[in-house]
Amino acid sequence: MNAIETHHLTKRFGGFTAVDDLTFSVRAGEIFGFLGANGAGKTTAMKMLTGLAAPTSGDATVAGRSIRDHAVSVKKRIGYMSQRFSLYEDLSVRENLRFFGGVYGLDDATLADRIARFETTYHMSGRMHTRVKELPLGIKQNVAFGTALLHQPDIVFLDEPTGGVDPITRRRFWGMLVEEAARGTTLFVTTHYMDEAEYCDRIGMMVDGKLVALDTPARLKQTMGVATMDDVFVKLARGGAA
Amino acid sequence: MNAFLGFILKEFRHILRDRRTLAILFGLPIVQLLLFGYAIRNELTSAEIAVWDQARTAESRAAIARLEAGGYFRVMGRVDSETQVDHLFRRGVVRQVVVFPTDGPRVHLITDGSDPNMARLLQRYTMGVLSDVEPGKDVRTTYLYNPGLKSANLFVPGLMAVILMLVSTLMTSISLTREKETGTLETLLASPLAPAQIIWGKVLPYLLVSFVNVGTVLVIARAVFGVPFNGSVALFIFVSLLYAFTALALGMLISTVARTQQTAMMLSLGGLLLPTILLSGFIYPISNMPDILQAISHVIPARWYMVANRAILLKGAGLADIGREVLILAGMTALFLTVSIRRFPIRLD
Amino acid sequence: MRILRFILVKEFTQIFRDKAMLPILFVLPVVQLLVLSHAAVFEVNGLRIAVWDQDRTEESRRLEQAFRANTYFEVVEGVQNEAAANRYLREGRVNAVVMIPRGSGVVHVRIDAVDGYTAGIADAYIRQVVASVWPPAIGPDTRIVSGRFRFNPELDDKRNMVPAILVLLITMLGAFLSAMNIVREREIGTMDQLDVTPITRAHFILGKLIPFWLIGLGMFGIGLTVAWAVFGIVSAGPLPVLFGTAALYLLSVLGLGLWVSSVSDTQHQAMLVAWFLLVVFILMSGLFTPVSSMPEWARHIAQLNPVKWYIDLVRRVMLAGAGWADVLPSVGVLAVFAVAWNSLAWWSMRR
Ligand SMILES: Nc1ncnc2c1ncn2[C@@H]1O[C@H](COP(=O)(O)OP(=O)(O)O)[C@@H](O)[C@H]1O
Ligand SMILES: [Mg+2]
Repeated sequence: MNAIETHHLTKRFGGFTAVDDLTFSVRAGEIFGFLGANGAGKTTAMKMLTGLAAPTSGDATVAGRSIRDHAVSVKKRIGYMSQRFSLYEDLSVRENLRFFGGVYGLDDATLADRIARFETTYHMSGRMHTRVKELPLGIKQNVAFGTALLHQPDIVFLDEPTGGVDPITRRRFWGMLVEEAARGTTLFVTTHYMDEAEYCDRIGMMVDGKLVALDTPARLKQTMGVATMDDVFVKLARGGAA
Repeated sequence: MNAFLGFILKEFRHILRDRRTLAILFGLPIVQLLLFGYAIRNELTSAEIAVWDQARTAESRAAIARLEAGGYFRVMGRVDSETQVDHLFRRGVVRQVVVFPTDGPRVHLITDGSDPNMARLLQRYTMGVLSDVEPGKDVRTTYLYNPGLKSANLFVPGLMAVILMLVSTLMTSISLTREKETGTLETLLASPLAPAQIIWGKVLPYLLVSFVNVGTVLVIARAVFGVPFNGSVALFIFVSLLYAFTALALGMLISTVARTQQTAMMLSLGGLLLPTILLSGFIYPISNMPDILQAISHVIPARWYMVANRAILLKGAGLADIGREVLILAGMTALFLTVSIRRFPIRLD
Repeated sequence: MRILRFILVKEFTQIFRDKAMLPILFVLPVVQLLVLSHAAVFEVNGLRIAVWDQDRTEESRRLEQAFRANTYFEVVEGVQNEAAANRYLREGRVNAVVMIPRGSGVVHVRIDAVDGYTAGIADAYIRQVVASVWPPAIGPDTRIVSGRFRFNPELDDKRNMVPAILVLLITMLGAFLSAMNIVREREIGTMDQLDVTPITRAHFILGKLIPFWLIGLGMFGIGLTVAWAVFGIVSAGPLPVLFGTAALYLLSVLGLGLWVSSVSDTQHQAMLVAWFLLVVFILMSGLFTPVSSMPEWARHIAQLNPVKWYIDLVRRVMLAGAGWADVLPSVGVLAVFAVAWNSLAWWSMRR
């Protein structure tokens, strides 16, 4: 079964096509990496899939429902961690969790249980009452991820979740993603760190709004005849520009 | 110095970039002055009244005709009982009932006192229209500086003070808090700019905006409302700019105190709007207020500006006549700026 | 309903998180109510006049004495020539100069009319004093007009100003808070996060409305208590009418604020627009100058002003003792505003 399927998904801003005729599918339970240079259209595509923006043409289904439906039932099954860090900075970690958990309809017992589990999973004891704005960036990202997972969604969208974070914290973060995927959650992640691509089950490469390649990291390297994902990226980007 | 110029340029870009804000900054003062210049007046026109004609004589009918003809009143109908009067008052249909009793040449007014300002105007005008009592000696009154007692001459200078104050304070009051909220203050703090430079850099561009506003407000007052201009234009512009500067500095001060734009707005609007309208002498003469309030009104910049600009426009006063007001405004400006610079956050928390 | 609960907790926490907000919400208005209610004094006292007596007769001296004896006037000395008269007037040392020329039947009065209101009053008072020295000849046609004031016989300005200023304060509170709120979420980027949650538009709007609505009503209650405890003003009409209409009125003001917020791109814009609307509403509310004195087109604009409707309503309830039946038409108008502005906010809220 596929978690996400897109059919000729397109987004134009005036005369400019930001996302151009995307057709692909993401299998349930896989880590799907969305790669591309800045401005390639990753965020725009993700915004359409999460229902934040309407497609200009084409369609997509997420968790079995068309994104044009705006169904609440779908919203409850997805989580979203936006590129722009967007927790409430003036609220504490706990207050943010309670708010978002409550908004996704968790009952009090479940909420308390999930928050307790969050506290141990992310080693946040002693920091639950800290205002989010006072946390270091790496921790903030953990909190944002934990918040996006609190209602145990089937599919989580992460838009450049590790932007501006050091390599060790990034590695730890990807460890968490892999663990989460092992539990059966579908992860749709955008990044432009090529080393992160290695963690993904499959990669979609975006160049100028178009999907120019889609395969596992190993097979991509093989077909392009190069050793690293960096080289894959450079080769594809140059090809797309030509 | 280069960094400072760059900073001023950036502020200008902020102002000019957002077309909507720009339109508001320049458009609002014009729209408001035009709107209020026409709408705010104290002369009675078409006030709703009713008549209760018990006498039913030719005389009483003549008097009613006089009321209807004067242009001050709109006679909404007739009543014939006290309960009807009450009913009409409570529904707010009329504000006054003019009673012509059966006995003698008397007229009695029952006026709704729940709006005292209106009540006084009503009785004053009604007595003026109906009574012919004049002193045994001829009193000839000359109204100096505002011969027709025109509301516009009274209110337009006041409106200038209120509008300039609010729009100027508003412009700067959230400028620093916005940078705090969006996180760009960090960049500023890391830069070699001194706090004083940042403050000046934020005030100066808006001073130019204010200059344009002072100009348009002046033209409208003169061309549209025919407010007399007995003093020197240069002096008027100088005093107005000084006053705008005071307001900008006050906005800056609010900006250094508030943490969020919302707080800044509540302070600069929620805290300034009513005091500026009420304690500046714009509507209510300060000399009539209780001593305590007269004392408090001294800290309202608009009070001083209003004295100065009415004196220039209507009385043709020169710099010497308004020296005190100018000094006070300059002193306030210096104070606000100094405190802002002192309070400027050198580092984030 | 559960979702709404979580939204409300979050909104309240955020409102009160900023420590500066609490005094701004509750102390600032109370202070303003206490201070500003005294500002409206149309009673003119201590008019400074100079009497320039050229006549120097028994009668002219009696006039000067009459001015000195009258508590409305304060007689300033030293005006005995044209130059002094002009200087005293221009420098604002006197409000008026009364000049009695030699041997004529005229009294010349020159009044500083920069403040037109005081000038009009001064003229009337001066005429009264002159009439006390030279009484009018009362003929058969002379009409004697007497008057009394209903609901506020002493014309106590505070009984009008306290409720009216309270209305202005809750209006500003509600409109500014709501106008900044939604656009703030948009500006700091949390709006997107909310958009992917199952929060519906209705939840969202209610979550924004209810806290401000309660704060506004709370402030209204505090204000009425202050009016009673400090100014001794109690409502002549029933309290349920006051609170019921306040609830409706706040709903309309908040709807307007939310609408402004939802069509603005930045808090800065929202603030400027909200400010513009409020200044128009307040100055054209009929509190300071009568609505009926405005030109006709302005009177039409004033019909769209919720503040005008509500100040008038509160005045009638608190002073004239109006009940539900009396205020029904105004309630209808407020209801129309509430529905219209909240609907506009609803439609313009981009998802
Ligand atoms: N609201 C918008 N209006 C106009 N252009 C936009 C808008 N949003 C994004 N774009 C443009 O679409 C392109 C893709 O942007 P985005 O999806 O953010 O790229 P990525 O996330 O891959 O860096 C960019 O060129 C960007 O400028
Ligand atoms: Mg992006």
